[in-house]
Amino acid sequence: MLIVAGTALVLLAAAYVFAPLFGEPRGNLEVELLAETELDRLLSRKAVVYTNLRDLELEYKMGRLGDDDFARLEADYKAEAAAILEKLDHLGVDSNIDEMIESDIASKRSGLFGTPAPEKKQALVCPACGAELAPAKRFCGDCGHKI
Amino acid sequence: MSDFGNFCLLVALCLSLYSIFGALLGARQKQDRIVRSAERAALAACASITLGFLSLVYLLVASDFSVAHVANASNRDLPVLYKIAALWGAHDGSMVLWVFFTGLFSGIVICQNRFRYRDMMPYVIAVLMVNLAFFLALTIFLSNPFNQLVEVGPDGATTPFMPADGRGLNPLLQYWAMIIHPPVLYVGFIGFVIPFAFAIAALITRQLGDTWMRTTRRWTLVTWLFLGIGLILGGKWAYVELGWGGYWAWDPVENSSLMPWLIATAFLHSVIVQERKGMLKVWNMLLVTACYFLGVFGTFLTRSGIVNSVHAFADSNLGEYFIYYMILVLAGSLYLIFDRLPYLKSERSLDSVISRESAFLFNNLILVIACFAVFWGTMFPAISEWAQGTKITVGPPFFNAVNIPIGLFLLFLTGVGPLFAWRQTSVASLKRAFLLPSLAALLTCAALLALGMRDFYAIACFTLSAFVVVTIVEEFYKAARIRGKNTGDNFFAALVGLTLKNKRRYGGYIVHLSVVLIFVGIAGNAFNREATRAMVAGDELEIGSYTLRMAGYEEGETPNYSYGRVALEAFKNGKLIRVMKPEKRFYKAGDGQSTTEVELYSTPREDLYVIFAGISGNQQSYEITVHVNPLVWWVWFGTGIMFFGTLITLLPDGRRRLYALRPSAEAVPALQESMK
Amino acid sequence: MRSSKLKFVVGGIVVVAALSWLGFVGFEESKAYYITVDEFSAMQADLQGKTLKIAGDVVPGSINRAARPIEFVISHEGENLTVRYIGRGVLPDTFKDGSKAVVEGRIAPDGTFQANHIEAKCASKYEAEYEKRGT
Repeated sequence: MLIVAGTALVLLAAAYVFAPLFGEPRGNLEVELLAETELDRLLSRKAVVYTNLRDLELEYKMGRLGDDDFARLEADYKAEAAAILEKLDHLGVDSNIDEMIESDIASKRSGLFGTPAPEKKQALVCPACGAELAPAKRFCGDCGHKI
Repeated sequence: MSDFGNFCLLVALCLSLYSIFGALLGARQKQDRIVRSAERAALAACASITLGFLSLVYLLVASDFSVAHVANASNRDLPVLYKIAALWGAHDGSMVLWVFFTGLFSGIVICQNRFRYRDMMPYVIAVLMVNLAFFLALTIFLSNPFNQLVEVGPDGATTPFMPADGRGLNPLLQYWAMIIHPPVLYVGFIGFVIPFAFAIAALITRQLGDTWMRTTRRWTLVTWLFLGIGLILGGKWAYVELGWGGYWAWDPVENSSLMPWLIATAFLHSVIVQERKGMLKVWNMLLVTACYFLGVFGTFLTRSGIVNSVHAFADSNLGEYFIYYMILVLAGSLYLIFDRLPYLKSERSLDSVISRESAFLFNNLILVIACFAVFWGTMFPAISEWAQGTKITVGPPFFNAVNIPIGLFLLFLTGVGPLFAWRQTSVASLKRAFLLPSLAALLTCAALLALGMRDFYAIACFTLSAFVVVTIVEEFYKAARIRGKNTGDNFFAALVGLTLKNKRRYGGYIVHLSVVLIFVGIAGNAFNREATRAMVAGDELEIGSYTLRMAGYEEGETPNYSYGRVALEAFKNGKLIRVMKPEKRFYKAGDGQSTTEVELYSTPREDLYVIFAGISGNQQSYEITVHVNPLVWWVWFGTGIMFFGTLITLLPDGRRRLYALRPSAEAVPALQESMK
Repeated sequence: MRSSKLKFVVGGIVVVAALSWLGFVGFEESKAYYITVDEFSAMQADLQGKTLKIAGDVVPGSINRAARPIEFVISHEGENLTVRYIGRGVLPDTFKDGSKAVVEGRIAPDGTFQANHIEAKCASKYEAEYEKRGT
């Protein structure tokens, strides 16, 4: 009994572990992967600058900052944001990414409440994970698979 | 079943070793399929550990006393829930729980990131699996709970041996907080491996933006929360079960879990500075390494027997291996950090001392000093023995002398931090911001002095608490008003909307509030009172506004233990509030351990804490010790609030998908260009 | 820029210095020499007036709970020491015949040891009876 259970365990584990080795090689993904993280960095820095701006405004409204300090810091952050946006443009990424995200969220929501979105017919489906995509998408927002 | 469990652990060890090898090879050859295989091996290892864990649970529930761990930590008449809890009632079984959690976390992280950070993941997997393999090997080879008992015959031959009953679970551990305390604490120790693994992977792949921190932010928070709750549960257990009227004794084992918690608290704060300002990158690397290192170090302290403690497991032979492993961890990560220093440059420097950044920096400095002081005090016996040959121990006065001022300073920073703006704060606005909180603090101070309070630290604590509470309330109030004006919501809708819109900030403030409550509870210690008296029926004992009248004594029995208990009528200002029945229990299993069951009457104002210490001498009088501990209730209540606040910061914020977007194929060359 | 960094460093040093001083005072107040009973017997003369932590096993049958203060004997490597417990706390449940105890206190003028704090740990006597086998 013990031997059977033990052997089954080992065989199952081996089959599961070694299966990918005999599959199709998925190629050298490195270039794309590194690119992903560079873009990640720009996008997250953009988000951070926006957060900083939002907080700055809040702090100003709450009376933590004088007018001139506020003006100076705001200009500072805005310049930073502009630089990042320019870089993003240069990379060929839609600079109005927020709009893309909004539309993505909207399509998700309509899916959730069952109202058929008008572009439903041409709706794309991510081949990797099956999530529905907004038509403008080149990448799946759920799993990142490239289309 | 015990052989099967043992086999499962062995299979898991082999799988984790293969996984380390596969992940590193796959990363080196840039072959995704090898990495995938390593990933699967890691998942299979976790599954295999789960099977091993379940077989130990089965053995415990089935009371198979031929297994040493079961015979040592359980007995037939133990309630089923305690039988399962006996898994972590002794050293070797608790190692299985430890590896089970380690495996579980590693598995979850690997699954979560199956399609993300493909370049970092091989190294993440490797670090996680090295950690897992180390603890697995310790479990299997040095403290295997599946070992079976044998009898050694006169001729030296051994035959399997099965005692009629087990020794039983240590009665001191038979209390709800103690049942969940170890698992909660383990989560708090083990979880730090995840930020650590990502940090190391980031260092190796030279991707030292804040991706690794963002990815692991939730893990760090959850781990920190569990460690904190574990600490407090341990305190709750000591308070109710050990019967000396307090909950914290600066015991080495308590200290060993406090140290990583302090560093993790520092890390949670300094992470914000890195995210916002790109500062403190090296510092954060050091902190995350320290968190993991101190987690391992704490385990080492608890399990190696190098320090004496009520909580420590009996001496085991693991110490040496822990030391090798800790040296490996420390040397490896320090080398990597040093080697990658050019990638860790600050993007900005400090603008002004009166700024949010600076408050964060002081907070970090202070927390690290606190950790260092605790470390020094805990290790002093070992250090002095090594340096001078005499073992010198330090007691609570040392820890209190350093940590009470530190605590107060932290409280102060908690109050002023939110009043400072990022980068710079103008003096005029500062005056305005300080007005209301300072007024509240002064009023509190004056009121306390007028009431006759003279304890310096307690007054300081209450005064600062008032300051912090007013700042936090003001922060919520002002921001909600501004939001309400913009959105047209009423005040409460705006308050909720505000909190949900910026969960980290406002959840964080709620956690700050909870810390204030806990501090208030701790400050209550300064006013503890106690009385001891041998009493016979009809005797009265007066303490504070309470009177206890001895009503009677009874004895009884349960399958697990027999008990004797006294009944005391407790009056407050002459009114009967409750009949209190503190107990003395004598457990039947094992070597007849007795325990003292405290009876508590707990109110926010103060705890009435009654102990039945025993029947004294030949006369039939009963020894009663009574403590009146003001404000202790707030410590437990504050912990609840801390849990709530942390949950808010943990809520998903729906912005995550942003980071999963990728560039189009045409953009890749441009990106490569920009990276050069 | 520079001056703010300097100010921060100065502030940090002040904080560290103040805490070190507090730590030193607390250390002097609470340090205790940790020795076993046999070491105590060997160097008793040097230890007058110092706070000590002495480790030993409670001699079975020696605990006199009727006495005020409670008296008992701890031993290690054949040397014995009589201890009087003058502390106010309730004795721990683990304190009983045969347990490993650590007593903290000073030598009284009359030569006995007066403890105001006792830690105790159960002796694991079952470990000796079962012998373990590796599988």
